[in-house]
Amino acid sequence: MLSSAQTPRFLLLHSRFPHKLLHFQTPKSLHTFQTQAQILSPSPPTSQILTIRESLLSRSTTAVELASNYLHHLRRTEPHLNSFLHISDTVLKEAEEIDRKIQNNEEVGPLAGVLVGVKDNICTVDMPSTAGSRALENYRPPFDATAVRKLRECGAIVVGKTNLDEFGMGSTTEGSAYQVTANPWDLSRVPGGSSGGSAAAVSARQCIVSLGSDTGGSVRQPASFCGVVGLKPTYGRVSRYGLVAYASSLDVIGCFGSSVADTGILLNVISGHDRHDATSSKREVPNFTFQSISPDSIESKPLRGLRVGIIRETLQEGVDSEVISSIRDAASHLEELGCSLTEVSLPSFSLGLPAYYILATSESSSNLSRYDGVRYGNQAVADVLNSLYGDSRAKGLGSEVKMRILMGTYALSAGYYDAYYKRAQKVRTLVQKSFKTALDENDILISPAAPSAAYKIGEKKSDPLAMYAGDIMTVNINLAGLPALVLPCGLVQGGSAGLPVGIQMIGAAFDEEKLLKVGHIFEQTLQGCCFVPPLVADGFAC
Amino acid sequence: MALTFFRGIQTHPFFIYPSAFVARKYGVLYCTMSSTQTQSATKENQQQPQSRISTQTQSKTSLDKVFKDYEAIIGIETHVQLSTLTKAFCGCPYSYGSQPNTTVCPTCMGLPGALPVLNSKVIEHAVRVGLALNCKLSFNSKFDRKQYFYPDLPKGYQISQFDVPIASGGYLDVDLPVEFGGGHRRFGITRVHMEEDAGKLLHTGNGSYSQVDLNRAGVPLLEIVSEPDMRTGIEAAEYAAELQRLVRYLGVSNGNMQEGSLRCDVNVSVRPIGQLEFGTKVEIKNLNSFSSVNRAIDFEISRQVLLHNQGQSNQIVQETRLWEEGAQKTVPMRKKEGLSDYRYFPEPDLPEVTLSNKYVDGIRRSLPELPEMKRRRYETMGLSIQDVLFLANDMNVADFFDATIGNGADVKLAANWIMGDVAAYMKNEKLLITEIKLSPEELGELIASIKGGTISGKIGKEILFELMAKGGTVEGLIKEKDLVQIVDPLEIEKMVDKVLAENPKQLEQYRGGKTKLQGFFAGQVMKESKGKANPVLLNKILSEKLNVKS
Amino acid sequence: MGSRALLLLRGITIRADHGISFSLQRSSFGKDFIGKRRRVRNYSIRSGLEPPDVLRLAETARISLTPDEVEEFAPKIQKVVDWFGQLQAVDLQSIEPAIRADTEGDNLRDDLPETFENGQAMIAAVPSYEEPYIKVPKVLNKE
Repeated sequence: MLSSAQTPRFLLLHSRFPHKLLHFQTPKSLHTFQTQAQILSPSPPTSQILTIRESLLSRSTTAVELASNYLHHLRRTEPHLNSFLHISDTVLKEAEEIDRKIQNNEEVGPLAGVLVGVKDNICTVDMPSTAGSRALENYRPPFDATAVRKLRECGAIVVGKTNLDEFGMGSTTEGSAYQVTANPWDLSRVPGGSSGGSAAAVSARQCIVSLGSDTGGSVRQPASFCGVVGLKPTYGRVSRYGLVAYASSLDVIGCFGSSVADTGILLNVISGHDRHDATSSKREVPNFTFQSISPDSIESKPLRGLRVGIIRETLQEGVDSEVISSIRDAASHLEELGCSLTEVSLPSFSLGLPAYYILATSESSSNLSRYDGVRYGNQAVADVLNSLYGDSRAKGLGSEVKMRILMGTYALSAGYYDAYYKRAQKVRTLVQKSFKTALDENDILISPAAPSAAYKIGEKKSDPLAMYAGDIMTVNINLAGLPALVLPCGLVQGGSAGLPVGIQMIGAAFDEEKLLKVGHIFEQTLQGCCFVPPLVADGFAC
Repeated sequence: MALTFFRGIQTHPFFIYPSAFVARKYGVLYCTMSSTQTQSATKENQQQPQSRISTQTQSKTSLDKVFKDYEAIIGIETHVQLSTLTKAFCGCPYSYGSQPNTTVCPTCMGLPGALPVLNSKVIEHAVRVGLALNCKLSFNSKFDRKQYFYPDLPKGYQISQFDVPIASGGYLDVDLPVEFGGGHRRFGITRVHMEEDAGKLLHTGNGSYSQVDLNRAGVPLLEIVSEPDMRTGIEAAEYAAELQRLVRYLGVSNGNMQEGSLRCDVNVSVRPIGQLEFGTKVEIKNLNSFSSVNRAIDFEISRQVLLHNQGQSNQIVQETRLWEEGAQKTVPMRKKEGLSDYRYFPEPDLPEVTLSNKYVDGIRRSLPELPEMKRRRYETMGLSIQDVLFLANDMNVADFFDATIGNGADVKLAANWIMGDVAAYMKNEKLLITEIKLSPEELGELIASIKGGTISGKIGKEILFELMAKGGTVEGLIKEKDLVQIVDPLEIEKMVDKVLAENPKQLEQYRGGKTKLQGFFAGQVMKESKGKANPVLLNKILSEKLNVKS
Repeated sequence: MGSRALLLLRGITIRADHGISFSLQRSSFGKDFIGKRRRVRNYSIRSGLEPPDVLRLAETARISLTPDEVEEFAPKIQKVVDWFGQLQAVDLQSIEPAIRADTEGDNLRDDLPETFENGQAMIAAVPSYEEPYIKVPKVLNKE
């Protein structure tokens, strides 16, 4: 945990610009990215969390000021983005409380004054938690998810609940029963999913960091589409208590930030064993915050000795050529930093996708049985019990969710278990084994996070297999339960300023520390890119 | 139910038609079967003397012949509600009779985002029961989800164990009651597994709606499945009674059928003797007492045998029937559902349950002496089987008995006192043996005092009553009430003389031939002695005096 | 973009003529069926699994579907289920199934009572509540 004594002055020194907090001005028009880039002379992102802490403790700003600025910007951008399903009405009150404590020289937590967005499938006791579904419209949980509780205990302010594909099922937020979130890089494109709202909110600087969930790539793919950092922790690293379950053996809560450092700080706060989650690990949580490095340090080959494996199956036909070249450039950058790069083959890679969908639909068909309108949520009017169930569920659940429940029901039916579910579990074993072998021989593995950059809203809706195919890069990691970090590594054609592409770094179980260190070094030494979407590019210091 | 009547100090007699039950033998029941409308009427008319117990010697009606050609195959599925302080997967406390929907939390209510965490005590109890049932334990078992929709099942699935139960392949030794032929049976146990209970569903009388109380949702259960080894209703009922005894001995459950902490469903099929194939199995539910278990099975056996005999065995379908206590018959459940597909799959929210040898050995060492062992031990002490069954039925009674004889008291006498006066007192006062004020030590003392001649048996009974009601010591009471038996012949002689002198009329009558009056004189002497005269001595001296004076 | 992604799936054998084969399956199973199947695909391990009956599945899953929905969902579900079928072609004989990623065993709870402090909120969220019970339409068959 960060102590108030820690002041990252070295960060300030290495910023090209005098370090100031983000000011939001009304954009007169959207400049092209190239122009912006020339104006801004991009520099690597710095930790907003540490900056805020520094500013608050040095009294150079107040939490209320900070929160007001963000809220103002949020409200201005929301009509374009629709990242949020609910915005908290106690933000300023909470900020006042923090200011009061600071005034009185009381101890404040490491996230004091930090505005956090929380995906709406994570329970918050003071705000609705709909999971993007009409079945839970206006549902208010009687408890905070453990991850949310921990955030709040550290002084974070939950600014609102972000949009998602219903129950986490989907890759675009088009599956939300309420609204579609737009990608801040191009409002006609999807932000990715299912944690699209959380990714867009951080990308558009509506909040500083956010929580999402990742069952088959739902943090990593939107991170890639929105040009932000997304971290999927090891299964068991973060408690699932309070996460509305989609697929219990695959779900994790993950983090979004505009820098690897912020993502690490957030992970630090929410990690740890929870007695309410029997699958949460008792392993000690290392400190995921670390010394920052200088962008110039590339000369010193800070990653010398790191063995990096690039996954062959992720760079084949079916992946955008521009994406492939971004990843290869990123790989070269890693080599420049001293890594040794080899190509790695994971033979069971392609089987992972159908295996994932068998397991996910099966488990979700079971996890969603509880949405029957009897004890909470929307209830249909009915005289007969089966109609009550049938109609409540018919009205409350969206098409994609219904279909997945039906598929899962099929796969678990008597006589089919061996053919589908059990076989999928065996494939899971294969996938775990192949990753283990690959990670014995390599420190980290890399791949794209998605086969393309963000596509247009409406493009993929009709064909389920087309939608599912996009998850090929991410699902195997969920099957294996491994941690993965996605950070922006390049831009491809599209939109007014290009579209971001993220590189996925995969580590061994519980080795988030290594991923964050490598990611941070990569990020800080990457030249020529500033991953701030044009929507917010004005008046920004990177 | 006679079983519980004779044994039951702790158990409550559930039976409704005691005399009919005791009288029931195959022959009687089947006669009533042939006229189902007048079933209850004929039952009352066919009381038979209690003494005949044997199932072999009965009147050879043609029906009896028919039934002899068939054998029944019976299996029982028992659910035992564990007496843990909290539920299986959450920390909610559970107590029977709480205000509805007050002992609930997000986990047992199936709220979004809630997760189960296993109560370690549940594993401990499961292992205890598994060991007590002589099972093989599964050192690595897991939980599975059993999926179906019902209002008392909040998550839409029950967390249970499907293909890897925690214990399997055991047996239970049972002694059949003496009044039903006695004998020893060993019934196989197929499996024991852990699962959670559902809530309660109540149906309003008039109404268009039902009511759900989720207090009980998530309470831990052990499901115990027997091999289909029973052949008669009695065997099945006794198996169930023994399970109840066992779980009470082990302290894992209070085993109360009325509270629902012990529930039995039975499976019955019949086949012609000699046939290898099993007949169609019928499940019977709604059995709320051991006597219902017995009667329902007997009824169902008859129903099926009769159908077979009439060439209509195809009318026996695999179904679930309900036992109707009022009508004393099984009826089909209203809706015939196809075989349910529970879509089992391993519970992803719970890790595997792993046992270590050390853990299991620890539990094995802590097991109390089980009913079967106790019965065998009591038998070797020379007690009759009737005494054995009585004493071993309730662990507290057995402990009391063991404590009493542990102080050196005579085994047979201790048994008699406990089964006689003590039991009667408890029944009258509606007390448990742990609640009476008599201590085992004092009972032992009482027995010794009588045996040693300090007090008479009659005085002993009086002291006993006082000890049970108010406590105290034998010695103390003897002193306090001056109860020491008079064994001095001279003193007795004095009293005899006095009585005879005071009753000249009766004396003359006696002399005249009414020898029965000796009892009268004896009574008077006893009264004179305030009950302290040694009866044997009294009668001896009295006889002498009476006969001398003639 | 979509079609490109689909190309990825080529590496995973998908047969184009599933629709036909499955409608044949609807009528017969077992030995007499093997001949027909061999024409179309050779998932040797599969033994005549019935194709998804969307209406029956919806009933099992307690979701009331409109006829339009049935019509819309059936081909999509069929397609996905067929795609699932490619797992049949893989030899998984000697592989143990994995329930989840490796977790350390034994996250148990002590048998100590804890009252959930926000019980009121839970009850308040019940749509049909008639103190002290949760109300549901009359249940006809007792389980």
